[in-house]
Amino acid sequence: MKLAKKITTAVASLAIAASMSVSAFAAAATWESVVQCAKDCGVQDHNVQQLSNFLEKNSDKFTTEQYVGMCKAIEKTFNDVVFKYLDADTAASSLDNDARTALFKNMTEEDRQAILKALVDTGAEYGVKITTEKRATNDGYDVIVEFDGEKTPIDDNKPSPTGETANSAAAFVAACAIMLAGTGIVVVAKKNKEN
Amino acid sequence: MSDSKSVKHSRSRHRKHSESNKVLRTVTFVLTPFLVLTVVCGVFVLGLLKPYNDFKPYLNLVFNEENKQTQGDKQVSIYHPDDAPLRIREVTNEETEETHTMIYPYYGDFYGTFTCENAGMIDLPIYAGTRLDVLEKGIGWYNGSVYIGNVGNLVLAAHNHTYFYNLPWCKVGDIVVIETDYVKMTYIIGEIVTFDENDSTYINPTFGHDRLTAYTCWNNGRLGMSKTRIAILGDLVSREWKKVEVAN
Repeated sequence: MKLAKKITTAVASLAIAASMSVSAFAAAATWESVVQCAKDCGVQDHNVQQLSNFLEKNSDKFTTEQYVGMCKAIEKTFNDVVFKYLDADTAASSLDNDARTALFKNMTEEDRQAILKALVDTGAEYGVKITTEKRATNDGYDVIVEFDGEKTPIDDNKPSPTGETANSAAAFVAACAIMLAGTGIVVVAKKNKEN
Repeated sequence: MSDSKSVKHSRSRHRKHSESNKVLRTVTFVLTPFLVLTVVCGVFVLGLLKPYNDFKPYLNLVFNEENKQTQGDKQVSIYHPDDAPLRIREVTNEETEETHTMIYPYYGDFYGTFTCENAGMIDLPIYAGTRLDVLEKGIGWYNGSVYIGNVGNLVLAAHNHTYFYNLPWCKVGDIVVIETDYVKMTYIIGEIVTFDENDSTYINPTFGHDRLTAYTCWNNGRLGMSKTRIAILGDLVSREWKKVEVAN
């Protein structure tokens, strides 16, 4: 039953991928079609937006054939990694963002690394240098995209730390006071000893 | 006899003098710094209370937190070469067939201004990105949200002790204007929310639906880091594209 479920899912995924490939070839591929491809393959919303921002800004730098290649790379990653986390008869395109986030969180570290490797390799094919580093603070990755002389860190999709740190001036004065007190104790002890 | 008396007297006076010196030294060298420390700690505790907020901008001036820069400062960027060209594109709306100009910012560069007059926030600078080095310069545009002018959720963040210090003073119904060299976006605040630092609900994209989300840390009006964020959510009132003329 488990095997049958896996086969069904695989067939469904391949069918989806094949249809997307056909449609990608059929239509003149644009940066928007790459973004749609990412949405259809279960990529999280903030990553889709970041991809969209990058491609929109650099839309004059890539050819139609390259956009087709990007779509194929996304589909391949989907088939290799993502589909096995889906239930039978569930299309990745139907998942809401919470489900996509949960899907990524439930992946093994090996599979996450596989996705990142695919991202880096695909980028390298098109002159985009992507560096990734696992964050110590959460499950995410620090990603920096370098292309055409420009370096763009991909902002974390968790709300930024926008609070104030301890008042540095007060801390400095307090530290001075403690230091003075310590010096004072030493001086007094010395003087008292002399007397 | 008298000599021994006078010696005793002198020794007694010396002891008293020595004792008073010890007391004086203790006061001068030990108690005074502790007194200073107590005063500083007391001021710090008072600073956690609401009234401090009224004096905060003045204290920032005294201790010179360098938190304001004029717009368009020419600075060396670590994210792009100095001679990087403007990223400009003419975009045609497929439905209306109208064309407008987009100017895409480089990470860390000045991007636009933020104004909410009712909260006393006028022409605050917006920079592209939300890394800490960018937030030091102004309001940060989160690059996982839409470019200013595009349809979707526009997300801005800033520190609660600098550029978004007045954000909690915004009220439902206030008008917020976000302006760049190529577009002027006007929003009306529809909701004010608080959420946990790990909650991405309000900063996630809203594909096809215009919204402004501007947030900062919220510590119930007190200083200090917080696990809570406060955000104003704005609904779009108008989008006015500007004519962009680029010098050759």
